Amino acid sequence: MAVMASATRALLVALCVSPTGCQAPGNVIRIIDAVNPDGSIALADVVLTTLGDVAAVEGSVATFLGGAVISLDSAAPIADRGEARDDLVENAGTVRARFVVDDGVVVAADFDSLLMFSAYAHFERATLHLGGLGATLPASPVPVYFNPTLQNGPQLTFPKSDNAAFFAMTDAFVLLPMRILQEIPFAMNTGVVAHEVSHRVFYYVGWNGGLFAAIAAHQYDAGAQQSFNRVKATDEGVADFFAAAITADPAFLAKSTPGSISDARDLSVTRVLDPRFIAGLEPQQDGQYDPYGPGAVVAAALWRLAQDHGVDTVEAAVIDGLRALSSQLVQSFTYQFGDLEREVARALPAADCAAACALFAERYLPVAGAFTGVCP
Amino acid sequence: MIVATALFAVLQTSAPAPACGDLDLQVPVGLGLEGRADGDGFDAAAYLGLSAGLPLSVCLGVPLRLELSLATGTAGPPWGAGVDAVEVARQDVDLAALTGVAYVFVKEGDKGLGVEALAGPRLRLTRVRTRIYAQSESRYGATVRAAALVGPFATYKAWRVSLRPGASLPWDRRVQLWLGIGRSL
Repeated sequence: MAVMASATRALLVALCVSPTGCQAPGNVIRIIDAVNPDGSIALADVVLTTLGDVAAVEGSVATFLGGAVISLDSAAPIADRGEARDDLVENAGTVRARFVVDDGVVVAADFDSLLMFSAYAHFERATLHLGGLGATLPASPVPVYFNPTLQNGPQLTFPKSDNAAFFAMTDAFVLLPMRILQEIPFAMNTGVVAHEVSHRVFYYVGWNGGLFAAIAAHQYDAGAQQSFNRVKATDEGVADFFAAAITADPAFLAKSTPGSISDARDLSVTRVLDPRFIAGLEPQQDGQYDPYGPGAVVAAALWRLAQDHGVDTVEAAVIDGLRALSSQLVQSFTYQFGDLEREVARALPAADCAAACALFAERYLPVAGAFTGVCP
Repeated sequence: MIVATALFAVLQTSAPAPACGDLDLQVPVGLGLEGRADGDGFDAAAYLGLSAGLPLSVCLGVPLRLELSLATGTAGPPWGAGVDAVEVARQDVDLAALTGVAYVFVKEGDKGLGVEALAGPRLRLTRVRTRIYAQSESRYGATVRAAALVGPFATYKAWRVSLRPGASLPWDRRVQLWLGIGRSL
């Protein structure tokens, strides 16, 4: 009976007989979202205030593009702020999401459309949230390459599937299809998308949008690689922190990955910096620096600080800390574990600074001395 | 079941050429291409339909034809696509009322060969089922578009075979090629 009623209602609306008239797609979209206090994933209706074209999944925050061929060529020209995008990306075109409008709600009519709607919602939420904390991003919508083809990916150990990434070389995001992992896809995971948006914030606030210029200027400096590795690890930790803060879920990654991956990044676990990480050459995986181990220490410390002093307060302090760190990164290309955390402690309300330094000294034990004399 | 019953009824009769007022019942099968949501190419789909046509040429001497049709297919797909945790399934049912020209340009006894061009409104009823883990929900929508079919047809006594490429306006990124086999009732 309910089925017949719904179908009849849809028929009448389609014929413009309904009192509400023919339904054009509005901005109430049904997506996959982390909606419950415990971070559970469910269907939810959200109002996307920045979405301008529903079918093209295009708005002031992001523009989804399909059919892109991205060249991952280590010899390709690199420029900051996406200026080399045209050299690295070809064939990118408009997507056309399929949907029905039921009771004023846009409902995706295929899996890819549900992925895109959900991802756009998560991009909007994270961008507006971090922007509200003072993170300044370019005003133009960021490209999101959906299911692109990656050339030379295996040669550069970049996966062909099961990944979501901020691709700094094009100042864009990449959402790859899920072929191996069968849990909540990364594009539908609110925390994962927030993690990637955080990387873009780190690029524009921490590096002042000049990462590649800084690399070009300092790549042959003594210790440059080690400093860069430590920054990458800190970047990963900050991204996990913002993801957990936005979703209120320190285990956001567990919705999408097996425990062998997500357990090592659970922010609720107390983690202390391994002395072997200090040099910036370890840990390694498959012969390359692995930033996630030390990054998990950064994330867990910030999460603990947020639980003690308020999530919004610590988030804002992290943004301010990145801003304060920017000149050091760009001009000297030097970084030690604890540099960002000292700036975060200074950016907190004065009453919280000493406690923050005490927490950081515990978690970054091998470099605990870096946190003395920080607070006024 | 409906299709089988109709086919049985059609095959039972042994009527010669159609007379005025005789409907013909067709079972069209089709193949089509539907544009992918990610904008990267097309997915193939198969379709099945049932249509009732009224050729006005016998009654009025003008090469006009009216047709009502019902069709569904594998575009969606109706059995669902996604990952273990999340899946989306879509079923479309199209109802079309078409009118147009069906012109026989070769006629030899009981055999005929012609070309037809039909157009008219097409109502598509869509059911979308979204599953996340063990919970699922169904939502419904409807769209109206103008459908157009054009192609050759052949007749032999009461039998009719047609081949029709078709599309809709506004463009819904779906093209179809229909093979219809039917008979006058």
